[in-house]
Amino acid sequence: MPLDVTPDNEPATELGQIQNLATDEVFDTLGTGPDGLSAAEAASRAETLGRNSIEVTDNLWWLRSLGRQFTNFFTILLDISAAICFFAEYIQPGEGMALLGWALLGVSILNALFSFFQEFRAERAMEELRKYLPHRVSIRRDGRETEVDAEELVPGDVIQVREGDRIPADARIVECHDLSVSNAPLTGESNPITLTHDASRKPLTEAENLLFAGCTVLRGSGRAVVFATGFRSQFGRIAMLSQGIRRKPSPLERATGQMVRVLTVIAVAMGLTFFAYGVVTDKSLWVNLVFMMGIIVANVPEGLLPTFTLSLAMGSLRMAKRNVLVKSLNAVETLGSVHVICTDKTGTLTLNRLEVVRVTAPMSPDQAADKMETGILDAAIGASDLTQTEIGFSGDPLDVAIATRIKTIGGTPTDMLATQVRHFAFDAAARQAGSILAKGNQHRLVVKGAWEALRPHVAACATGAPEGAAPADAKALAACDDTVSDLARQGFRVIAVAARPLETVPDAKAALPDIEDGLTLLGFICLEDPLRPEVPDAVAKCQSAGIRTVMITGDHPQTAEAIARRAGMIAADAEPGTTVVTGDELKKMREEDVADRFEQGAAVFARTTPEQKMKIVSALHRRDLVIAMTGDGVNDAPALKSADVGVAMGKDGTDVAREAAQVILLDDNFASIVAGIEEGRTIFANIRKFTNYVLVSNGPEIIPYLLYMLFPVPLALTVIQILSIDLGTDIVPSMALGQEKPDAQVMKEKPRSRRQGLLTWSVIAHSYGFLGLIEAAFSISLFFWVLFDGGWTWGAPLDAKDPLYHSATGIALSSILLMQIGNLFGRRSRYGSGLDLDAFKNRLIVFGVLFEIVFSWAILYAPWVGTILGTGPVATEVYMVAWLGVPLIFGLDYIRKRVAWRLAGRP
Amino acid sequence: MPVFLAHDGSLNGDWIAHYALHLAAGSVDRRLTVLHVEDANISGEPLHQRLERVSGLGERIGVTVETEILPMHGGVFGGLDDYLPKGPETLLVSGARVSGGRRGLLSGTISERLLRFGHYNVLAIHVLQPGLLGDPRRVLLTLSDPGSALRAMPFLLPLAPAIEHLDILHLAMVSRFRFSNLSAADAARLYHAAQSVAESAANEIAASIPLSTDRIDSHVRVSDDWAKQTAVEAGRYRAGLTMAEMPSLKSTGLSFGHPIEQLMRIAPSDVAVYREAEA
Repeated sequence: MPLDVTPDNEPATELGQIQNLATDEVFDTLGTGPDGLSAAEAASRAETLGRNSIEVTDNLWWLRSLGRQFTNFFTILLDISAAICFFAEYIQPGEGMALLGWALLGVSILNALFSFFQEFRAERAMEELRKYLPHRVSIRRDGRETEVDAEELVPGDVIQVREGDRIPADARIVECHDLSVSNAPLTGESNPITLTHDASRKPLTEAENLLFAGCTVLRGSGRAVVFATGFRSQFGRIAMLSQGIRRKPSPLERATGQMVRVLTVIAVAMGLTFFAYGVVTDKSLWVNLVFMMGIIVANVPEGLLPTFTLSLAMGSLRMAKRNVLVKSLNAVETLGSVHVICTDKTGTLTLNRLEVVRVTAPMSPDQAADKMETGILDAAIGASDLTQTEIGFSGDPLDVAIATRIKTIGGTPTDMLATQVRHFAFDAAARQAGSILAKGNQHRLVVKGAWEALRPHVAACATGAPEGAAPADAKALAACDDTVSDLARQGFRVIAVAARPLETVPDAKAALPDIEDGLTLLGFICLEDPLRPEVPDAVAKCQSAGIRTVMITGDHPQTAEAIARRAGMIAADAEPGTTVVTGDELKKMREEDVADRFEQGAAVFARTTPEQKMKIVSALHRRDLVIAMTGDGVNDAPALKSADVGVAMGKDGTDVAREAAQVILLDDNFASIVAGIEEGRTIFANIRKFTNYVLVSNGPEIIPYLLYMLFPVPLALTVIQILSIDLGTDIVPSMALGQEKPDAQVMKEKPRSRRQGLLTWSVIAHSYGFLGLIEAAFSISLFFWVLFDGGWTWGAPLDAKDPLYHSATGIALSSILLMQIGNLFGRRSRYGSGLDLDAFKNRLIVFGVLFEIVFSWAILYAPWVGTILGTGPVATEVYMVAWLGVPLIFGLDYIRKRVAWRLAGRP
Repeated sequence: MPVFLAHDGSLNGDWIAHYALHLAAGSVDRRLTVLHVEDANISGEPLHQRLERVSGLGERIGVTVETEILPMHGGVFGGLDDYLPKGPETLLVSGARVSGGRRGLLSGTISERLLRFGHYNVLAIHVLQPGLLGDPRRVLLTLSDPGSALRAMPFLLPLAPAIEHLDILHLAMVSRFRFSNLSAADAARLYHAAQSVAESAANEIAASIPLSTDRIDSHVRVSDDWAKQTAVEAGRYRAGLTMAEMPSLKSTGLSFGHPIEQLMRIAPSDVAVYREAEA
């Protein structure tokens, strides 16, 4: 009945939407007719409404992304320093400033390229989505059947669809013959939907008289009038969301951004303050420029961002060995800061393998006797649609499970299948399937499906006695209802099986609902998709790590709750139903209500639609939580992009989901997410370690410049020498720290807050105020020792080419490298010494230490290194004294740790 | 509030008419006056059939439809402006261009002038989904400032019967550069500040229109691109109609790159630009 007429023929109060109209009104509304649009009208509409396309050509996106990297503060500072160098070369040529300028520009580009590499990912989701749309389509134009490019479709076009066609646009059916479609890309449900041309009272996305772009015609044919094209179609919305949703900056990106800002402020503040001081104290412009440039370079840890990228890349390789494929490097660390995992049920928590676990009589939840079980299973397999292949049965997983059970108890499924004379395919709306079986002259109708679907047609219930059946009165039906409830509460999927003899063979056009009255309920088949064995442990691990797990499923609430309990997601003492939210409830809740419900303990969202996943993500984001969300369907793509970490299934997921996600589970296993989280937390902890490590060397790099400005002394460390530390010797030890193994406590701590940064006050104090100062003091002491020993007097000018100057700067640099060895071991552990056997199992640590040792020697005694870095040899005993820096740094830092341990109240 | 529809005689005009009929059905007197300013584009029988169709639709849903053919008075704008009663008691529904091309969808149109001059309440609609037949069911209302909820009331009230769910969107806008460098703490501060504005607007609206609070949701995003973010949210919440307030632009009209124009081009829903009559 059209929406505009009520049952009492009173005028309606609304016009309704396209699906509510009667067929003849559709043409009028869309300004078309059964003969379709004229070519001129179609062209006019195409010009006004645009092409039927979901493509957005953006060929220069990579250029914009690359350009964005040059707006990074570090990069800007390095560019400014390079500009200062070129200016300094201009005012005082021949001092090598131009070369230095080019070196700094090179570093700036290197940093930008590394950041670009981290951000770069070929946007392939759109390519995968386009595969769901056809290239050509049959339409009527100017009264003739013709074929056009699908992109030429406009609202009002009359299209023709046939079995196997992909649907090109959203359209209202005006004529159909046995038409059924799969709307899996939109709904996630692969069950066929039978369509009609009649008016529907359902909402647009659920109407059975509409075709949706991206979906497939499974059977039959039809004609329809297009009403939405391109991005305006339901499919187009998914595409638009997949493209348009920008993932929020990851916690690591924010933390890195915060660190960069703080260091920039320090660098600029120091630079400007002492530049002003230099001007006030009448220092030459040259000196002031060199100082400013040096301060900036000293403050900026040039090698840190590339080390992040390399460390994340190596982390992603380790994750791949644990079946977690990471597509975006930032996701490596983001996984470690997850607060909530929103997971699918089927295939992720379970094995996605239906098994028959029990067959019961109608009025008892206990396992039926053998003969009764055989009868129920035979009837059920008779109502199935299966094909025997070389490797087994092929068909609906439910039917395959029943066939497997029959074989297990010694039966032959094909025997019953061979007696099928007519099969009624599974009807998703009616939730049942059936067949007519023939044995000799006798015919029998067998039906299986949801109990609610069969119940109205049941006239008798089998009792278990030979050929015995009791009338299906109210008491019997109530007993059946109780049986089904009991079984559902235990987490089973319950299928009712019924049958009745047929006196005559029904008409070939008769549908199942026409002939299924008077059924005898034979019993119930209980199926289960077993929980993956490793899931309970994984969930327990999450709980001890302060991570909530939430199940989101289209399945029945009771079944979902039972699985969640078995997985440990719901506490054993939680009242049934209190931790479950259904899709119907979700529809009526605001996002704030969903967030509240989550805080009250909701652990399962059941009977949900795919779009409700987005609502759940948005609701949890209101609580500032970092969310990992799993998905496998096309319709999951927007939710996967909205979550902080989208996790797609590698084995059974769609390509669209895999392209939209940042992480792919190669084995579809929930436990792998947990392994990924453990790795992610370890990686963040390691990033903090090497950030601390690198910042310590800022101290001995900055102090020489401050002394240079404040006192009449030579510069203890040149810019090239600073770069040799930041971009040279510090890189390998940093990466070594990045590869440290997980701490035993890493999955016993709560997830870190989004706001927890890399550069905390304790890191700043430790780097700049403690170890950095010690390194500076020691290296500068050696610098002055060599100077005084070589005859320099306080305040005397010293040429940059003087061998004495080279030796002095050489020992300053060499001592810093040696002290960084002590710093390296110290950073391995928060409270421990860091010097243990595991350190030497980390090959990068061994290599890093050897490299620093060798380089500390080469700076002083390898002429070619000295030429490049402007360093020179020192007496052997001076070099030996420099070695004392290693135990000095290590020892003082260890004492600090012991004090900190005590202050933290630990025994 | 009397509801008027400026119908240009085109198919697009029919699509706009569906919205006008819904608004009229939601008004107290259930009356719609269809105005057509005579021009060379359409006249005679084709025009008559179009306008008759609107009347027929109105009759089906109990809305009285009157038609007035107006003379041009210095143009279509003059013709309409002469006729329409000035003031906040008048609601005029008009349409944007169906296709913008280089001109834009609203820029330089009669609707833009009507919006800019603020003589009466104006709702200019760009229909992208004719299949909705002016029945969006789910509406996304964008807020520009704390007072904009009240200014949307003359348009929400008559539309309320057609709304199943109202999503209110408030964007905390920052510059592109700042957005790239926003710390988590700053983002949270902006978010919470905007959230209190959005929730207060939701409460105001819930108190004024017949829509229960469980059917009104408020959302906040921190963004550097108003048009794109609004379009994404319209897609996310499956809005049938996105409503945005026309900014006050006295002397200059909308440019092609104006966020309103951008939104109309990229939104996956019908878009309605509204402006309350100036006091």
